[in-house]
Amino acid sequence: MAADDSRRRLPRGAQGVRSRFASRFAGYMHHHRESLLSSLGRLLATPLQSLMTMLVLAIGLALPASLFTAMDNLRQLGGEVELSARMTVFVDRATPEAELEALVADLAALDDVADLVLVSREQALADFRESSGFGDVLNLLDENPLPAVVMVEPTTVAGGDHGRVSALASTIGADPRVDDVVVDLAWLQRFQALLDIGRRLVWALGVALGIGVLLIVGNTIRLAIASRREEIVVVKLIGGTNRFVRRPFLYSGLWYGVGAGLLAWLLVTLAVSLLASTIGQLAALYQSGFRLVGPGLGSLSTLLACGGLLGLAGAWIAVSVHLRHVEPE
Amino acid sequence: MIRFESISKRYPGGHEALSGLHLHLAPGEFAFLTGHSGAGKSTLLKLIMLMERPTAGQLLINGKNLGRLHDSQIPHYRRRVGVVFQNHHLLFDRTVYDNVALPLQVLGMPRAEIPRRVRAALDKVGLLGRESQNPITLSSGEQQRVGIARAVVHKPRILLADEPTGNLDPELSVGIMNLFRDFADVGVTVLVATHDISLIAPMGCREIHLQQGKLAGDSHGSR
Repeated sequence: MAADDSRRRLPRGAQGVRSRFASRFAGYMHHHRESLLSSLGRLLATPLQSLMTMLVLAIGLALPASLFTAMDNLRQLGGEVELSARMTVFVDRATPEAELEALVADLAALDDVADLVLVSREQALADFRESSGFGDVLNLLDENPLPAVVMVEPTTVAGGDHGRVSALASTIGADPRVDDVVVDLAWLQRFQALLDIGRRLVWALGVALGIGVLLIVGNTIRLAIASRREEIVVVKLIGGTNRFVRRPFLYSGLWYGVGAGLLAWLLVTLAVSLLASTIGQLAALYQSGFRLVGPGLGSLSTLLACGGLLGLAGAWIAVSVHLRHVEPE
Repeated sequence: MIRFESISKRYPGGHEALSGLHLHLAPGEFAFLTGHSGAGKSTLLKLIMLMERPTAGQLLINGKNLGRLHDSQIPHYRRRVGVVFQNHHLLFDRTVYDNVALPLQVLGMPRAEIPRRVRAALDKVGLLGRESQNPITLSSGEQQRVGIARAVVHKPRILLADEPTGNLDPELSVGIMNLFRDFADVGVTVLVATHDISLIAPMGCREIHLQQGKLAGDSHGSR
């Protein structure tokens, strides 16, 4: 018996016990390392097949990941709008040009107003001509159809209080020189609510696709177990513990998951870089400095961790269900 | 070393493979297990390997009752037993060396010690220098010897063989049987199941004969 032999040869006492434990532990660690590398070797031995499996998994991870990226970008867009959350006061077109200065002065005197910008009718027309792309159409009109506009930015305190913003809007709206007041806040609130719903949907989708990834890994590992049946039987017959038999399969699952996470990150990054310039142009048309932000390194580590965990869990399920049935006969 | 105390094994369906078997093998003893197919030879070996549990009786190995062994302890028990199969169960996706090294890896033996042990086992079966070959390139006699090297590389106390010469011609078979006897000579308890009476008669070893699950003859040999 090998264990007894080594026991006999080693010196008695703590030193011997410790060195035996140390050597057993070294053997254990060695098998971990070897399982890690041999399972990777197996994946690389059939590169196309492994890549296909990983791609399927990667798509399962990339879908929620790209939606999360989209949500992040939308939230950022929302944040930008929030900073500029203001009221647009449309001045009645009957108001003479000379009255505008007086109106601005009156509005500036209001308590909750932090800042305001006057956009005259000519300026509005020029802006519109430049950025809308309908400049030629404007030439067909006899007179400038645009009203003068005062952009009112409420103080930070008032801006956060829905009631005070509404009150301010109605105060301004009561002025006879004012045609209409549009509060951007309502739109912003709807946008935030939609964003919340979207976030929940993405989470639900992410969970569903995560389960999909789990099952795909599970099935892949099940096939691996079936194809290595002979080896498992031999290892069990010569005294391999279940843990020993399980280890390479768990590492396979881990590799599949981590590989899929990396591929998913690459897919999303690729998609974002393809979209970025187009979206940048669109944002410029809206006079927004908005830029599409891709999944960063943080997302990479999240994807690697999620992929790895799902792969490991899928392999664990497959192994605990199927290894039990592989017994020597 | 191996003690059967009125062991019975009844399979679901009613077939009684072994009934009330008493048997004892001393440490370092070499014995053949004979009988027609279906006489219970394989069942007896499976009981020692703990691939099956007896339905009645006690099986003691080295004084320990196997019935008390929990399932989770089975792997640790099996590491003390070497087994040679008729179809040798070699793995053709790896070299001869890796096949023989497998039991040592299972044991968690330090890496540095493995090559020496593997070479010693291969030397014993006369296959030194074939480490890097794939077993599929070897003849069936050589494959069986790789199987034996794998069974003994971790120096088990007990060596079991189930029809180890089933696929071999008589000349190779004698060589294999002599190899088993060498292990018995160094203190391993060896039990070889075979139906090849002509082969074992000249060896003059103990022969345990089973018939329909019962002990039908136990001739203590000259050795």
